[in-house]
Amino acid sequence: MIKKIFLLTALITVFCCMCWFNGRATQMVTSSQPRWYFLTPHSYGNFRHILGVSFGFRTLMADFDYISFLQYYGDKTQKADRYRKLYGYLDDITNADPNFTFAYTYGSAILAFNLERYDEAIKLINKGIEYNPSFWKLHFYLGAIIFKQKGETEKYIGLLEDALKFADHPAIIERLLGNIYETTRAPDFAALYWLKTAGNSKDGDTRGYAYKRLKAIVESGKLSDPEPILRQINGQ
Amino acid sequence: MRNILAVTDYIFKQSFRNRILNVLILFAVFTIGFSLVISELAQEAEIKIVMDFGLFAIGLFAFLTLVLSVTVQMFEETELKTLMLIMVKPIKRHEYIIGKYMGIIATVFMNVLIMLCILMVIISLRGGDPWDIKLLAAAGYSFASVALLSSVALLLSVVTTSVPGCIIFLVFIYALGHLTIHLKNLTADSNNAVLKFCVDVVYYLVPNLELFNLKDKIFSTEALFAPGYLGFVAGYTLLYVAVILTVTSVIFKNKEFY
Repeated sequence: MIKKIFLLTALITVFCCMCWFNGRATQMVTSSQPRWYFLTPHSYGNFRHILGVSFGFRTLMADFDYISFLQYYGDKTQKADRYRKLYGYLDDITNADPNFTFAYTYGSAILAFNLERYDEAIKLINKGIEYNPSFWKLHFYLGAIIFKQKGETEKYIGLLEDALKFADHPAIIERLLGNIYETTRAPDFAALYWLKTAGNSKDGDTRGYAYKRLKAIVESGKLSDPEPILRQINGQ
Repeated sequence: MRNILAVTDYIFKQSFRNRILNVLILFAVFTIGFSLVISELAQEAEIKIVMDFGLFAIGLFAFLTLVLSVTVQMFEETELKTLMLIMVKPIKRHEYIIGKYMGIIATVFMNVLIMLCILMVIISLRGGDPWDIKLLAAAGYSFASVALLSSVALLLSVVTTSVPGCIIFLVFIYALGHLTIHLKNLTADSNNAVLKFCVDVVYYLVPNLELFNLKDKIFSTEALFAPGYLGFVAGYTLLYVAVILTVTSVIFKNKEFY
């Protein structure tokens, strides 16, 4: 009988300690995670996201949404419609994983600089800033988008050039900047930029695109002094 | 202690003798390898997707290994009556439960270790850092969550009378374990005392698996990788396992087999 009482007391004590550990750890989760982390009757409109939360793979759902977004953006038939659903795709990704910072920078660059949908781009960046206040690069992208919207070309070119200095910049920034240089700078300057990008970009598609643009500039015959560029192309 | 180790050794070997488990490990390896293919589709976010998919696969297959191990053991014990052979030996019942638990988690650990090594090779191939402490912590705590669930699985295998019943309860607890933290948060502002009490009961009894879910926070700017937090979760795991194994041993001790 005494043995049973002792066992029961020990069990209750250990159970209470376990509850305390559970409470402390939960408190740390509650205080360190933003409010989106917890399910509310209004959060996670998509059933797949709720499934992700229930079984602990929310970020994987965001990854699948990201792949769907890339496939949608890669579908040339959507071009006529100006990728109308693009923001919806980005919203899905960032609802499932609001810490997917690359989705904000990449998505907003497409929306603002390729599709000129500034309001959606700014809305996306603001969402990113709300959920990732310490990820300062989003403020930087926001600045570039606002300058682009206002038509202050030199200012947003400066910010895009600064963006290239960060190793984790989306490759689309390299393509965007090259296209802007083609319209705002001398052909020799643009050709040199594409030459550098063709050699240094971490993204294979961007390297191919840079080489294609470089070839187009050389073939257009607009270069004042094509010799050094041709020499460097042959050298590469 | 020797008796416990003998049971552990028996359960561990028995698990690896089972073909279904070996096929599962093979399948897990292929699934982790598949992350390489999936990442090809994810332009510029390849490493994130390899990590997310790999950690998801580790968590999923660790759980499936546990389910299969418990199923196989339960089937052999009840249908093939292997338990009778063990019970006639000079081994106490609580020693059998502890040994069995250790055998199961050793099996799961082997599986997780193999998968983690393959994932690290793939991350390395993709140009990422395979020794990223967050990756290792996330995989480690995936294993810890399954170690916790293993104790619950053992309890269910002793309490329930059928294998399907045990599996259904286990899957249910797995999902509920990820939701308890959300349920508690949902009812935090509620004025309904009965509802709050019911949620509190569920919250403290069901394993809080969301505490172990570090894989969803690897790329978070507010990540939970502080030693204090990891310590609390480790302490919670040890105490929870201790409570459940004690209860299981008591129930098993009073169980009639004849």
